[in-house]
Amino acid sequence: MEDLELEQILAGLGVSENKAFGFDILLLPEFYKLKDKFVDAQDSLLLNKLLKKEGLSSANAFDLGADINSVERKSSDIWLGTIFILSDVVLPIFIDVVSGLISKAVSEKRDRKHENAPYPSVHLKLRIKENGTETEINYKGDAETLDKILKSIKPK
Amino acid sequence: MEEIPISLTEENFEASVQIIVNRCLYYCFHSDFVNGNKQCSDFIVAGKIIYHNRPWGEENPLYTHLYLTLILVKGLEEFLRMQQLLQTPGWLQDHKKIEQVWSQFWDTKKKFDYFNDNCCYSPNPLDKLTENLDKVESYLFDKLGRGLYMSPDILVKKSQCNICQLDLRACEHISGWFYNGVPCQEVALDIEIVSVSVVQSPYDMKCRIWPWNKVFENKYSVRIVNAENIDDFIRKK
Repeated sequence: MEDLELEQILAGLGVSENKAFGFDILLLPEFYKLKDKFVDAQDSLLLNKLLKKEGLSSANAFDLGADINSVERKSSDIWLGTIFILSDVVLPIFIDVVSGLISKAVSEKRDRKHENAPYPSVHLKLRIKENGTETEINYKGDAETLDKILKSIKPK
Repeated sequence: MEEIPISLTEENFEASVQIIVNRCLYYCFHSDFVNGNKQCSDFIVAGKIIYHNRPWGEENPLYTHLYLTLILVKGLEEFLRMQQLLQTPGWLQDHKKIEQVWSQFWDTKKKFDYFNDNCCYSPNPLDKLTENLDKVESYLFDKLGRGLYMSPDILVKKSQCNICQLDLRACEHISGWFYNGVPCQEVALDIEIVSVSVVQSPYDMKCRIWPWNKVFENKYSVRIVNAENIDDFIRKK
């Protein structure tokens, strides 16, 4: 996954920055090198819907008007794409929803493995922007550690 | 075991299901393939008619219970089939039989796991049999090794929601949640397999590479993707 800024991703999707204005959370696609284009990560649509159910103002590429493909990696990993948090007020609920999704997905995917199989990894790029500062987490690893990292993040 | 025919009605649903599931479990524990298969398939036929015809009103939470019980009983039927295969003399020397056992095991396990993840009964009727299935899993890995598997990247260009038939990105339904007894699923309408990797921990354990399926030098015949869903048997009317 490339390290792209929010503006670069929006430009790559052909979406003006104005359209993203007003959302607290953006679940943006990853740059998929094999096809040389942006694609939605396989688990980000589910996350977007769960966040909306909790009343959060979140949007993915489709909500911003970009019609892109998604990629399903038939592995046991969990792919959440690139997530921008634009208001840290939503962090506690966001973290609860992500933790819930990951623990359910890991439990379901883990069920299907023999005891020596590696645990599913979670792939996530998280950028928290607030008051001109930015916290960035590029994560690929086990769900338990990610859960601890997320729960240690405090709104500024 | 004495068998009195049971008819499923809205009023006696939970009590009837308990009796039927207990009968199926009894046959599984006693490796009674003939009676077990009959009990399971009779329930599946009767349950599917109710599930599709909706005689208990269009909206009724029992349809979700019925759906999950159908998955459970189908899992028990597959458990019996797997046990039968495992009791075939010399199956470990027969490549085709090994593949059949492997495939049957994962069909059973997927249904057990799905039911356990969504279990609507307390106590979970599968608790004890799941322990037996875990032992079979350990036995298979012990005999057949960990294996390598195919794992594709699939580009989904167009898909829709099975509940409302809209673009899944545009609707409110959430994958895996139940809506009037029907689980929301993504129906892929246009896909492209972009790449295939060889992995140790795949999404689908049925995509295993078997060394005897070598077709030419370093070329193997393998399954790279499995289009089966655990509820295909329910959808077929």
